[in-house]
Amino acid sequence: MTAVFVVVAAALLALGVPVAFAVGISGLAALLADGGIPLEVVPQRAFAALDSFVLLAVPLFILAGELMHGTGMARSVLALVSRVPAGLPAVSVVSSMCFAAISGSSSASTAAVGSVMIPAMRRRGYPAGFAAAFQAAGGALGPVIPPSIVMIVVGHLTGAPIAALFLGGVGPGLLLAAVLLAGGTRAARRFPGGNPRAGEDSTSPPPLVRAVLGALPGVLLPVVVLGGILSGAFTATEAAGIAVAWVVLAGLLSGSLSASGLRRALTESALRSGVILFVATTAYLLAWILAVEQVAASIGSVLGAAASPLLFLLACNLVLIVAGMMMETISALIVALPVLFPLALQLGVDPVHFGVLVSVNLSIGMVTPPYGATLFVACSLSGLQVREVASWTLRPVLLMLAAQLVITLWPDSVLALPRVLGLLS
Amino acid sequence: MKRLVGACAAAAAACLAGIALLVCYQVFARYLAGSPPSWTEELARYLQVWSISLAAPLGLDRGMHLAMDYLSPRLAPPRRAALARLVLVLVGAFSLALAILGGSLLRIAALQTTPALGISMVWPYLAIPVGGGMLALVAADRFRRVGAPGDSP
Repeated sequence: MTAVFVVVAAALLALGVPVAFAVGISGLAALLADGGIPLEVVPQRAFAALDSFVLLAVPLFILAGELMHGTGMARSVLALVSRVPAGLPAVSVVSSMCFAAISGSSSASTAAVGSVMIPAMRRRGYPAGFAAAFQAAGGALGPVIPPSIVMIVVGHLTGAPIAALFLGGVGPGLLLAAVLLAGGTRAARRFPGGNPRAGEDSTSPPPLVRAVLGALPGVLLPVVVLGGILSGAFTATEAAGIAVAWVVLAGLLSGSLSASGLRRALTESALRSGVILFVATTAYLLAWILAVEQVAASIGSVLGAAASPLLFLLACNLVLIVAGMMMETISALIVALPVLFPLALQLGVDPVHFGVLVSVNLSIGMVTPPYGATLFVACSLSGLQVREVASWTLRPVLLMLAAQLVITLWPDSVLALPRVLGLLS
Repeated sequence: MKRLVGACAAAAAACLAGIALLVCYQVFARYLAGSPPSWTEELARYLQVWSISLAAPLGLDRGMHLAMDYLSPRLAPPRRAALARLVLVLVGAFSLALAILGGSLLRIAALQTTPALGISMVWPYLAIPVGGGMLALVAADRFRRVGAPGDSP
């Protein structure tokens, strides 16, 4: 069955059949080739994939993000962060990090920060390609810094506790941000007008007090969301619901949320989650086929004692980065995880370390051409083609790869924080 | 056709609004009213099945379902149109299979009721054949429009 699946899926993907359908058709073909399994398993798996309380966090976090942009909450946070006196690339990374902590969606935060920072960097004489590549990398911090939609899907597929995954992402997220910050600032010196101060650029900024007050609802949101999840007051899904309520309430109080704005945000979020989660319906079928065939067990027995956990993780990094280069993030995740995770368990890799490492790899995949979610957004904001930015992505990607290697070799970079807070034994 | 897909998307948006309200109500009920109702979680999950099933067709209409776009840009326009048609036939065939198989699954679902709400399992399961049917219709509609101006890539 698995052989049929792999051959058909490869052919369909090469033809350009959308990933969700390619996986579904090849799953159906594999079942037909087997002959012994009722085909009703196809819609049954589709239903089971969506009938999940954990996964509800995905549309809710997307909705919270849409509403934040609709109500201007995002803009007011950016207005505050950009007052920090530092070079523009540094401001762009720090703003992106803050946005990653507020919103679950990387494309949304790249769009929000990039629409301000990319033109600002260009005005300062930075090459457009440099600005786009660093903004794409900053935006890609999203999957690693909680709350993260990628981690919710990882938790859903592996059963790893989402609170532990979120906390585990804090260390690697800070490391990635620090590496990009240092690299960006260093690279900035090469350009004319090197290391300018952002404060000088803004023409008569609003008074500090007003900026702080305006940004307050947005700044407090991650405190409520993460505090609630980590203290056990509510689950990740409930936190996402609270985030929506928070933004709606703040929008109503400040008068920046209209009925039509709410309707637009709801439709846009329903559409985006419809596309993202539809992939899950057929990927669940794939996971089921792999489980029935015990594929992981047989690969595991081939690898046998020869593979150490470290070698396995390094191989995982390679596979996930290639997958992330070629595919959309959630699709890559859903296709790769059912194969890789059982192997990780067999080799004794910690599920939380594994889950966070997967998120780190996929965040690198968002920057690497030819297919990168935040790269696409940054390119469209800077008016460049992907191939024009491609060479500029080399530096941020190498920086991120260095951080990824540290996170791979040093499990405590992930596990220390959840352990200290008692989420892991 | 546009109207039908638009209506589906509006329904999906309404489902999403319902999910947000239910999840917030669940937290509210647990902390302020003492006991969380058992049905909110179940209803929210079923609304998600409907929301995704109804939103996916609009995604297909707008060409938002992600694919690896390597072959198509390298082909001459007539071949590119032929490839687009082939892809849509495959997408439509799978959607139709999802609708038909999902429909036959309803016979089994009819024998069960949901644990918390106590309604027939047919209601949540119905989303799959309805979504599959809508996807097939959209695929057929886009097949008709291949090469015409205004067709999504």
